[in-house]
Amino acid sequence: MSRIWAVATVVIKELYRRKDFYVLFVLTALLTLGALSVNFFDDPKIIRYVKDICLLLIWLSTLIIAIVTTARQIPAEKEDRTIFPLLAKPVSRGQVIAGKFLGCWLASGLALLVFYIFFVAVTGLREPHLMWGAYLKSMFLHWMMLAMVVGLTLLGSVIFTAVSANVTICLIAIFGILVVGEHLAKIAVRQAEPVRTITYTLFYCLPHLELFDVRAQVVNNQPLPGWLDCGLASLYAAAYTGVLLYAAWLLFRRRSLST
Amino acid sequence: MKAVSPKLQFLFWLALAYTLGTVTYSRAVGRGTVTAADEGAFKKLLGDGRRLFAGQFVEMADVYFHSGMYPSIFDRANQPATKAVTAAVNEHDAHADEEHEHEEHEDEHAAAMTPVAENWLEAFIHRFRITKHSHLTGGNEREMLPWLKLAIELDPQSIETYTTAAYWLRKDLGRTAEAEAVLREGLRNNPTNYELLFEMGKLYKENKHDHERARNLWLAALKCWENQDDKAREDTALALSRIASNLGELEEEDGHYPQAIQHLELAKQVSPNPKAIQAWIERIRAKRGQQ
Repeated sequence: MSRIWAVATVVIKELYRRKDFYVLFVLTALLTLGALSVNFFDDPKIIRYVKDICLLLIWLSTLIIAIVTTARQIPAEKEDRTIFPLLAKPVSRGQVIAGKFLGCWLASGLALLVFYIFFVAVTGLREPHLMWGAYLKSMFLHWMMLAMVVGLTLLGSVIFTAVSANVTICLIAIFGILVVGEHLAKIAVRQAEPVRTITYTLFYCLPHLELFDVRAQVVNNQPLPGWLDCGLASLYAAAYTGVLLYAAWLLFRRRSLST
Repeated sequence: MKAVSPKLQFLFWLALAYTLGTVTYSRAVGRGTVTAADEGAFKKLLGDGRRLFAGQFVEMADVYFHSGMYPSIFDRANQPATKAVTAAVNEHDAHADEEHEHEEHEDEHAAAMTPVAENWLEAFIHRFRITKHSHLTGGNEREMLPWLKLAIELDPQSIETYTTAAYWLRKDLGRTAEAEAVLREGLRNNPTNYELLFEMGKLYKENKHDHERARNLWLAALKCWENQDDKAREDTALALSRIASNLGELEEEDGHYPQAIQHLELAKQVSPNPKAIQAWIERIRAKRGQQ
């Protein structure tokens, strides 16, 4: 475990050394504060549209941070040839995969925490009662979703040699799932065979990332799912992440390390 | 020859760009080819293409009106595309005898809005969604207003957006001045629109209790309605019924019974419920007989 943690800490340090997080955070803050400064009918109590915009930007930013940070881990190690001294130490390829995953997931979690602190601060400017429990659950579910995203991108970084190809494909796949994943069963009903069976299979096999999106409840001050449901969702995320990491390890353990 | 420092070069190019920019702009203003300053950022950025997005913003207002519980485009594939946020403007005109029908419509609306899970995975996903149908109340209606304002900016010819924004501003939020400003903006962009004049009349009658102005506005609305071509008049007969019945009600309240009967007779010709209007006329005639 200490070896996995050692690999992970390097990834976390990389997050705050690189500029990606700062750029995205400043952009999110500027756009949110810009939206907040707009005057609609001289009503200072209007806040939901600001929450909506802020949460959308947080989702986009954290997805980009998670995907870009994860996608360059293994290719960068190979390109810089630092993978050889890393594996020369008593660190197995499985531990490299686990360490990279843990580092990227924790780094995404740290970024998420900073974004949510900003979100709560902005919301607190206009909403008298803050829903701390709801924000905590929303952030927790969001972080669980990012575990699957990191797992998927890590698998992609083993399959694709170019970082750009991996990032592009992962972004398309993830946005596709977020937009239509939930509705695939309804789409399948209207299709003829064999498209119907293929669509149903996709519906049941794809990781439902949109499950973890509870922005509507947070924006509209509606009750969030209970902790039991959040626990079940976490198990769902853990299962998919496990499968993705296992697949990444299967491919990585026999992969040539020369670029 | 001595090389000029990069900082000086930068300053030179900056000054040149600024001078050229201001000279070109002032020449263009002189020719009248520059977009007017009050046309808004959306028009400058998107041109006429902005109208495509206006409907999306009205839908966002409807999503907020339902506190986030909204069917997806896949759920709405076989349902009529009516929005509660805009429908409310016309529904509040319904008379007491239509109350039962209105309640049935509400039930149908709630059923249409509530998503139905068809398998275990959808049922699990629904546990993470808002599934209780509700409408914003208690002053929270203000949360829809930014989207309606943006929709107005995007499509200044969309009458429904003005009337919807004005309705919510004056009805539950009590922001009569802002509602009037919205309708005036609408009339500036659409000077002969009878729906805007009608809604302005409602504002003067219900919120400002100024019957004189309300009457004038509704008579103007009636005139604008009549000035349409035959096809448009046929398509908007229900609007005539609303204007005439509201005029009839106003005249009745002011004790001008002959004028009230005259307007209600006009409303009866196009009303979907002529029997109720006839009963109303009979009541006024009875009142007139008692005098």
